[in-house]
Amino acid sequence: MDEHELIRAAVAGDEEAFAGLVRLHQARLRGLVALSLSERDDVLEVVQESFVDAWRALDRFDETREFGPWLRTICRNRTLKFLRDRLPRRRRELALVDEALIAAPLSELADDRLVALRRCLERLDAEHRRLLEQRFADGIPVQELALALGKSPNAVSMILLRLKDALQRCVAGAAS
Amino acid sequence: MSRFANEHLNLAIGTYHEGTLDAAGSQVLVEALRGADAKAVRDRLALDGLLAQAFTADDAVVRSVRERLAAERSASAVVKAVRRSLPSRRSPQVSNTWWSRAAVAALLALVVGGGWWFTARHQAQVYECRVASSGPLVVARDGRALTLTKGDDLFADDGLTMTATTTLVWADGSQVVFGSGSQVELKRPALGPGFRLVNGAASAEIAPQRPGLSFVIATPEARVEVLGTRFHVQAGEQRTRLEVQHGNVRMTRIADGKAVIVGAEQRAIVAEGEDFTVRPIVAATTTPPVTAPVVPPREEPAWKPLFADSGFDGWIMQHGRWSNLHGRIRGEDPHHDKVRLLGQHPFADLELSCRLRITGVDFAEVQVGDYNWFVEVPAKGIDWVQVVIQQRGAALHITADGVKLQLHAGDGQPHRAGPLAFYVMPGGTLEIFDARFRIPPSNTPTTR
Repeated sequence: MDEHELIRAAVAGDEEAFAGLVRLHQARLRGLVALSLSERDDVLEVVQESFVDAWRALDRFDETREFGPWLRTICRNRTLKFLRDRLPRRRRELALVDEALIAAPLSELADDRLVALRRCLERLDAEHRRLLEQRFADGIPVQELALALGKSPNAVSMILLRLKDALQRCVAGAAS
Repeated sequence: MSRFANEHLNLAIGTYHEGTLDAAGSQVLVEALRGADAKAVRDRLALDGLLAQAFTADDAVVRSVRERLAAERSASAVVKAVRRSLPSRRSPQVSNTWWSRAAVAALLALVVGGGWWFTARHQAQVYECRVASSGPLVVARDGRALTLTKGDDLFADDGLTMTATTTLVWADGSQVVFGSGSQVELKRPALGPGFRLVNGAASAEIAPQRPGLSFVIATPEARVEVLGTRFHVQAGEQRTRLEVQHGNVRMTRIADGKAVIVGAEQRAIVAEGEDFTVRPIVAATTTPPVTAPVVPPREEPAWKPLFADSGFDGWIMQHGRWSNLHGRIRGEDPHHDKVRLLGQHPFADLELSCRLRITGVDFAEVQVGDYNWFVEVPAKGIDWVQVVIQQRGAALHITADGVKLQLHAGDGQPHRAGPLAFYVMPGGTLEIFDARFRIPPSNTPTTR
């Protein structure tokens, strides 16, 4: 089924069709939310809630319009709600940045960044990819990575910084 | 942007993610986000979060949304069944004659029966967890207060208030005991199962989770993420305390996003004015509070980690180079030769669960009973594969992501006790994560 067929079936109450739409759009939504939230589970929670909101609101979706932008609007609202709800529990210095994030503009093609980043990651060698995964997906502190690698924490930080710089350039190149 | 300003910005971004951002750094970031380069700054700030997402399997999101919708549908079916069984306020207008009374009764029976049928049909797969203790439990569901008892199902978004020590059991066997007075919301804090502990105490024994998912307990101050372990968490008065008995748990402080890994016999506290560091559980702190529950003995044997937190005690790195970081094992050979990790413990009857990631080759081998039998676990790119081994008596059953794998003969002998081994052909890399095992009771009949 193409996207239009999936939408029509989902609007008629077909959960499997909606799962197909989730599959199509989840990476973009995760990329979009990750522009505002860095914690892995926070991003996943917001994306999940966004899809549930979309499912509940499907009967109000105008099928003559595009599904992606509609979904992204729901997701942006969810993200803003999450950020605002979290503000009172954040340290003041971090809350100020969160407030600025709420107001800051998004870059063009913001929601394609995750796809672009994955492509860029594939170009890295396995060792560097693994280091990034351990640090950013598994949340292993730099000090512990340094111990395991037999390097100083500064050296590991420097490697991570260079890798991130390279990825940033790669993603920016892909977006342009 | 000057090099100096750029370095300041990098430093501020780093400390923002670590949660240690100071006032000066905060000002740098806020000004940058309000400036002409706001989009570029935002992109740089987002890279850490994007990286975490890049390594997260896509299927996990699809599966979680599916489960969430199914749970919602079931919860709504339960509420509808309850509502429909209530007497209609309009019935006196039509109940003057015997036939209308009979028709109403028949219709009511049909509707209630239908509601039960519908509920029963859907509950089996999609409930969040089930009440396992006998004390009554007050549940807020769709604006109603219900009293549930042992065996009743609980659904997503249920709000629970424990009037006595209460045990809940999840479909995967995870079990959580809540202290009297605990307040809980059955809202999944992430993709896997879990709940929000608004107030109170919980002792948990969590079963190994599926690839890419973890059992998450959220409190107002912290997030506790577990991959299969036993621990105690207490929340209230703006303080969350975690004590871990077995395994590893990641605890994240909401205020600044700082995370620590709390290992066995360790504890950590999130509260204003207290150090958020991992400390050993000392005698004075091991006694749980008066209201704290104790995990009751379980009939099922407990899961144990297959590997220690570090090192390779009980294993021989026969081929290749192996590393162990917090129980996450990785094997490869610098010269692209074969890699093999050989156990020393002679397992007989065994249940084992682990996640494997195989790269560079098409499959890895898991060998059982001292290379008596082995299976080829197919590689799935950067995704993890959940492998489950069940060996009881002469029956050996191994699955990868729920699909039964064909057994190949190594020595091909009848069942024998022997060590496990993990093997990858030259050029391959094998990672093993969340590997746990348990020894089934010898008199347990096999179901295969």
